Amino acid sequence: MTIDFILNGEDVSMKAEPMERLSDLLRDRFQLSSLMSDCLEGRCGKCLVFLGGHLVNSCLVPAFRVRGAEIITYEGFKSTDTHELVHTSFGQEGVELCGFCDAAVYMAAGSLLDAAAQPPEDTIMETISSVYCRCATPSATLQAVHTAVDLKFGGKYGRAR
Amino acid sequence: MTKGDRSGDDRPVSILDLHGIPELTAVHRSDRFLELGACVTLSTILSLPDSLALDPLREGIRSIATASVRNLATIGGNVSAHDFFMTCFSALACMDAAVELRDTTGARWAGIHTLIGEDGRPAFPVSTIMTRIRIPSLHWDFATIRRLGEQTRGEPCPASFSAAARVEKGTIMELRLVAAGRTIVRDRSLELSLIGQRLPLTPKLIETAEAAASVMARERELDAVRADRYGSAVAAFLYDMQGQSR
Repeated sequence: MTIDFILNGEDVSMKAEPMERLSDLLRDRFQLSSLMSDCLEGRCGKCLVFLGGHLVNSCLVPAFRVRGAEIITYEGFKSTDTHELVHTSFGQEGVELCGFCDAAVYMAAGSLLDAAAQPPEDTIMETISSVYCRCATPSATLQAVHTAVDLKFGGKYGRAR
Repeated sequence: MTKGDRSGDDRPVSILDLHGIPELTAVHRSDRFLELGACVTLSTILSLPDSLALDPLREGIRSIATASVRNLATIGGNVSAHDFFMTCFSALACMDAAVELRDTTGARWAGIHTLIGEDGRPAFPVSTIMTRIRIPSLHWDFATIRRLGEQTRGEPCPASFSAAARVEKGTIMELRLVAAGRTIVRDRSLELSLIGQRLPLTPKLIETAEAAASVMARERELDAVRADRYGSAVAAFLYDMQGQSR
């Protein structure tokens, strides 16, 4: 079947079997190397993309599901201010991630910053735990994410008047 | 496709893409019930206001997979699994949910128990789609859900235990105890034996309930390990209930 969708802001079209994995298609057809196909079961979180603005595991998305949808991969996310903010925060906290994990962790952190208001603590923890990453200790990663959240929302919320 | 469907044989897989139908992703709320389209994602349910009486469903959803998977997984998919009952099923059975089923003859509402076969195993009607799930807006004084087994730990089949109770003036007025895995276990005689009892329950009564629950679970072919865990979960819920009611 022919599938039309928006990939990183560009209209694209491809022929694919309906049940092919989005992660495979993005890597093989569009050479998007930030997507890692590791567990293929949604556990590792290394293949995260934004599908219609929601963070999802692309290995679990069948090709037919992306018809008419907007997909943003790390390659597209990298050019946003949100990425800049996340990257700065991780640098400030001295958290260095390997090339296998960084894209997914940055996107997970970025998804928290796109919210209208400061995300609650349990949402932060649940979202970051979507990526199985042991490059840094979970507490260090969380600290970096908190720094990013503070940079984005700091001064606007959570302070008594 | 839901868990348990197979695409590896020679037959081409027929796919009906439902996600673009607005009715299936709608959430409707009234005084008496909450209605969820079958394609409402689990993360959408978690984002509903805390004021809605959604436990044990909300707690159960929180225990499912990761936040990014919950952005994809739908309540309809969770309830319609073919091989075994997934987490939401036990919670919805506990909450007396109803489902809207549609086939060529039209649409009909039915209790969620119609999706259970006579042998206690999942029995989703053929050539039928589920379009909506209706959950009564009833407040439970005590509600819990816990896993009795995890597929991720290499156990053969996941299972969950859901319980809900309403207490008035120290007396149990309503009680639901449901275990769901490969089969579903709900012992109404056990529930009835506990309804009307005053809190605190005696340790002997709780031990009897634990033993009865385990026996019932074994009879319904929930495997031995999960049957024992079910008994323990029943006892833990009863102890927890009287602990909190003090």
